[in-house]
Amino acid sequence: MQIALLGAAASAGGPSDTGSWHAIASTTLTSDTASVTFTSSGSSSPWSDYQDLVLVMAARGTNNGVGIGVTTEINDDSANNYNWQNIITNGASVAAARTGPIGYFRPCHIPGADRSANFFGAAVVHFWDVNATDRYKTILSQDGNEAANATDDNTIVLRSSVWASTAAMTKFVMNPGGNFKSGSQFDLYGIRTSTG
Amino acid sequence: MADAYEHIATTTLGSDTASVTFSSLGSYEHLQIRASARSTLNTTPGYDGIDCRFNSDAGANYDQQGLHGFNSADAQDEHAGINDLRFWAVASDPSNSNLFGGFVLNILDYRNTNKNTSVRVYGCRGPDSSNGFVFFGGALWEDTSAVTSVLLAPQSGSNWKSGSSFDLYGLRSS
Repeated sequence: MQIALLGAAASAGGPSDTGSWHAIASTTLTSDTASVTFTSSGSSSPWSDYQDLVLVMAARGTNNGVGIGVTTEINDDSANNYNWQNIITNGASVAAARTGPIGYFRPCHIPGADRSANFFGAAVVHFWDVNATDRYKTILSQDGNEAANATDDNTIVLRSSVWASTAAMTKFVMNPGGNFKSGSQFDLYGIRTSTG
Repeated sequence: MADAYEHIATTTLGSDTASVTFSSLGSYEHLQIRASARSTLNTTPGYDGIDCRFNSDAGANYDQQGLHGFNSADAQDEHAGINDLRFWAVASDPSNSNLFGGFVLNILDYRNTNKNTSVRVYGCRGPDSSNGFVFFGGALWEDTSAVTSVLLAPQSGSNWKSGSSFDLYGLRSS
């Protein structure tokens, strides 16, 4: 259902985008690029208009690696204010792990330059209550990294992250180490608690 | 043109409350509930589950399959013929007061009276420096009735914590 839902929303990005799920920013890289930044002020509507944000991305890195972690900081905060919990499988085994406190979180992992050509990693990332100043920010990533036509090169991850800050979110920066490969795509959606 | 994804209702709790019920569900293809919630359960390590019932049905009519990670432990669970839909997780009282849990509950084809109602949910008790919980699951309500109400309650705690919020959305098929 998530895919159908996203498809409906993405196609409604123009004037008829009057439901509760709004396409507010999009970046498709036309050259290898070190980082991707989304800001409230750079979106078509400020993030204060929305309760939640959802990031949809398909990306690849220029460094080598089967699953390059995309290091992400919110509001330029690089202090040890992030924790995450994941469950991961590569088709052969399942594992869970908690990490942190640490100075970033990782919404997704992506294939590197030494993996099969044209393979991109995909993720849907939910940010709850981005404007709430009475709670930390909870983030949930559905992360799929298909790196090669071989077993054990591919992973899926469900990952919960927390940014331990009560500040409203106004910015996040994603950095894969090396560059994001040209063609990587990032779409940001805002979810309202009203319609229109 | 109708919108594909519409907000239907919001409940933000101004005080600790035992349960939340949505009973005006509109006429959509699917429903989605997005929640940011916390339980009053005062038990270490500081998380609670979520119980869900449709149409106030407390019979043994729910089946569920789930996959979850808690710290370094991965596990799966399966329940058949249970009295409510059970999934995970939200923060609870021993944890930092700023820590909540988030979940997205999808209720598919909820008005169709020719099939049992299928549910998909993913959620998390956001991790702190000691504990984290993440969950993905599917479930079935063994009843062909149209879903007319959805009740959400903490699994072990007495109440949802004040400040918990629950938003109901409808998804159209055209």
